[in-house]
Amino acid sequence: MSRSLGMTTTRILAALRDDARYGLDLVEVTGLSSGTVYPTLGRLEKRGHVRGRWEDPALAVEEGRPRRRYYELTPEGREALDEALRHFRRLRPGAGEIEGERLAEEGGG
Amino acid sequence: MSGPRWPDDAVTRWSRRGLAVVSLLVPAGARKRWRREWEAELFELRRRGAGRVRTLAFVAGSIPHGIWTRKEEWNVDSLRQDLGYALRTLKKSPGFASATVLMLALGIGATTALFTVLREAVLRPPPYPRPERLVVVDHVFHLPDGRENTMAWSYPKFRAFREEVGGLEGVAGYRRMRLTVTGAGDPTIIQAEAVTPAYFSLLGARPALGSLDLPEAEDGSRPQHVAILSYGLWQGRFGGDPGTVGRRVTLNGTLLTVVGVLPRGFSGLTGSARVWIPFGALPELDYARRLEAPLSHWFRAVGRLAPGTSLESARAGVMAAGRAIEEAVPSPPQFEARPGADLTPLREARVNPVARTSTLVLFGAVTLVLLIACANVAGLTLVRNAGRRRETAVRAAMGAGRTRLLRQFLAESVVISLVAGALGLGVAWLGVDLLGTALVEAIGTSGTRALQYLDPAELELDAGVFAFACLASLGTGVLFGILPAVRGSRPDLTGALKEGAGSLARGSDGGGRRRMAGGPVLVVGQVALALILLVGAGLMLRSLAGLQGVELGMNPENLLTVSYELPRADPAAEQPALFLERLTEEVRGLPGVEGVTSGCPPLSGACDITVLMQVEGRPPGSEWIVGEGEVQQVGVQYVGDRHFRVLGTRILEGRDLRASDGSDAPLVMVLNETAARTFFPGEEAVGKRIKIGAGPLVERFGRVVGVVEDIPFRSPEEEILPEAFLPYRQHPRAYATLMIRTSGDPLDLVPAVREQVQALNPSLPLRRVATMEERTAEVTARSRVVSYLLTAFGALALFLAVMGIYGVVAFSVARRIREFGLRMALGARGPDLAGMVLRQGLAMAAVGVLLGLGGAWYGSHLLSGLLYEVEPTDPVTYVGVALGLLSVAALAGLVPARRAVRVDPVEALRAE
Repeated sequence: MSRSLGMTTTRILAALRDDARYGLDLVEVTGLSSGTVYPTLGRLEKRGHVRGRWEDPALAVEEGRPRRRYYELTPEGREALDEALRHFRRLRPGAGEIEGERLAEEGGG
Repeated sequence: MSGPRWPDDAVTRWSRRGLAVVSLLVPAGARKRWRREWEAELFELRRRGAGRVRTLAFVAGSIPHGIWTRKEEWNVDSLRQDLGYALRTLKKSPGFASATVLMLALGIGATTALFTVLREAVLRPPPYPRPERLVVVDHVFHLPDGRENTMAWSYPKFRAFREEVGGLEGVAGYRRMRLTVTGAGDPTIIQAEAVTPAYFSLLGARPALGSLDLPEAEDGSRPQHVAILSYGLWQGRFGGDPGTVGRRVTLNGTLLTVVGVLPRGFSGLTGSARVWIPFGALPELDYARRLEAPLSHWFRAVGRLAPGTSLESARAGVMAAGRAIEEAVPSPPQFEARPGADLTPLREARVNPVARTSTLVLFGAVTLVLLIACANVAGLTLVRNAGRRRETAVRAAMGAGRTRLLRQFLAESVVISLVAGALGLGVAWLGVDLLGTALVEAIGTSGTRALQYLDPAELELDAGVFAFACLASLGTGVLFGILPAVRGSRPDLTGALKEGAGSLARGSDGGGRRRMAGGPVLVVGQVALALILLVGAGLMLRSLAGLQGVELGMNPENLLTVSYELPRADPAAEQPALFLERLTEEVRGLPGVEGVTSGCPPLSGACDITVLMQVEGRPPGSEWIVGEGEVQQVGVQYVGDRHFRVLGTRILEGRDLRASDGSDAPLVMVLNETAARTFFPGEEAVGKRIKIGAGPLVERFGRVVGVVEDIPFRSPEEEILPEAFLPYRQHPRAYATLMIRTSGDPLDLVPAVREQVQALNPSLPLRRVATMEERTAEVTARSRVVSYLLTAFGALALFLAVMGIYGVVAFSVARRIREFGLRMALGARGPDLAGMVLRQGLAMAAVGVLLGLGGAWYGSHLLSGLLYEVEPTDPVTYVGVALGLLSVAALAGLVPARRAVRVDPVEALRAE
């Protein structure tokens, strides 16, 4: 699927590039609102770009909190992210390298 | 194993509850998982110590997520498909689509228009900061029997009260008045308010220009001849010149200096003021003794609760201060009522109960019309869907689930209702204009306290109205769509597919009967609702007829009325009687004039002056008291020569007033029938002597020279009071209403009369020029507007209900063609069949009428405050409306009945 991704989606994918993250974490890293992040995650999951998994229950019990749901990139997601970054680069010639992390932190900071 | 330890604080608790509620949006299969994830995130957020705002913002994000999951479940694409399909099928039946859209558009439009009025009239608070802290402070008289009479203030009483009162941040007097502006351009009359200094600060007004600081009337160190302009007057008369402060304006012939301009939109408590003057200017502009006379009650007051004071404690403070009035301003010794003070929240005081009821009744009525339209469209849709059974069955056979079918049917309804809603907004736009004008005329301000109630400028279609229309249309779509959708989506595969295509085209078997179930219920409902509306309309019309038939005690035809008031500064005001005499003479000489007099137009409520009186020769003490402790008062009217002859009022005893009843002649008066009966029961009134005015207003005794039939001066609902008619030459006044009896159309005479007035006094504006019939029609305006609107809604309801009956009966005839054919073949005669059909229609109507009668009986009490001489349970109206509806229902059944009679048995039986 070579449909180009929007900025928001790209930001979320970029934030997941190196780490699996849970929703709140993504909200904070991307600076997007919770009302944006969760439906986008749902769409990405449905499209097969990210995969959600519940964390180890033992860990949650140990830390005395409910289990979190972590999201990570699938290979398709990684491909889509690269494609999207290339696309944005074409849109902004001369902007040089746009690294996933930087893109993510741009919103976070 | 211990679970996570949730922090025990309100934000967390409420957030979790919020999540639980939002989770209901999520499809059941995914709900538990969804909630677990969000709770985990919330937990983390709280643990990190996020503040309340951040937490709430975060949790709010769960709503779009919940909606998203639901949308996924529904599959937006299929929703689009449904809408597309709905549009295509509707395009194929343009008759059905346009009929339903039109019906609903009228319903939604009318409801939206009235919602706009309702919102402005009933729901919106007064346009001042913290309006709930504003109160109207009334002067009251405590009567010996415990009742309380609310009335206006006199200035000496107000001052005494103001010094004593606690619990209020301040209290200000205001008086609605009309002032004549002269100078550049034509003399014009503008609405004004005379106010005390605290007025503007209490209402939270800030100057747009200059200052709003008015002098206290008793402050001799400051000039009293000052004025504050409204924004509109400043723009209009002064061109918005920033140098207007310090300039002069001539009001009632007196020069006043402009000290400030109010911001746009401020029009005072009376809602129409364009200029404000201090009380201190009134002796010059209005009446010399305005501020001194202790028993001249002429203005109202507004106050603001002091910070931290409750309404109750403020009322206690006001009542305590009210008791101090008596000391400062002693009442006449004969007076049994004790002065006091009381307060009412402004929000309540400005809502005129009659206007409020009118608005609510009309809104209820349009809602009923909309409901009827819904039922009607639901009926039509049922019929239409019954013809689509095969289509439904095919779709079901091809795998469309029940939900999908249901959604498809609902999509059609919603498309119809949304199109209708869009058209309805157009209808509302037109309607608000018409309604606004009509209703403002009828119920614009609330009576005694002159408080503004409905401002036509505020009636606008804004986002709120738009939202209402959207909701109304969506609600309408679901309301009329749900029943047909539920029925239509219940697939009856075998039944429908087994039938031949031919029989389906005619819809001719038992299956159709089941499908139409619900149709008769809808019709019964429509008839019942229509009956309620028609009874309401009938009651209002009867009451209107009563109002229009009120005995005026005069002939209002061909009578022109012209009102004027001589400004105090005008030289003619020195001898107002002379001016009136000359004007009367000049006008009498005009061609086409049969007679001229002056006095007060009936039903206007404008000449509501009552004074104490004393009958000569009655023992002291008793002359003031009649019956059970009532203070004896009489209304006074100042009238012209040959008054009763010109008006066509019957003289029961004695004589008319004459030109010879001049200022040097003995004082005379004419009593109305009620006065003669009250003061001189069983005696002849003519020849008796009465002193009018008491205590500080003592005058000489005058002789009664005649008795005339009653003329109602107040509203028709109020009882007729004793009145005395006094010749104007003996009691000169600066204002008068000329009444001119003409031989032709009274309005033809207006230019000539205007010319005469100009010739006598070029700077005198005419206050009001109208025919007597116009003036009396105003009194019935409210009733007229409400009854005409109710009648229009009732007619619409009747039409819809009849269409409903017709539809159901016709459908059932079409379905039973074969049965009719068989019956005929077996020997049934035409009239038998026709009877069967008619009975079906009548049976539905009869059940509806019975239910409706009950509803009307219950609901009509809402109208009781609006009715005149008609009981809400008036049997004539009920029986008339019920019979009328039944006969119309019978008519609606006639057409299908004829069809049943014409069935050709051979054709009908062969068809299968």
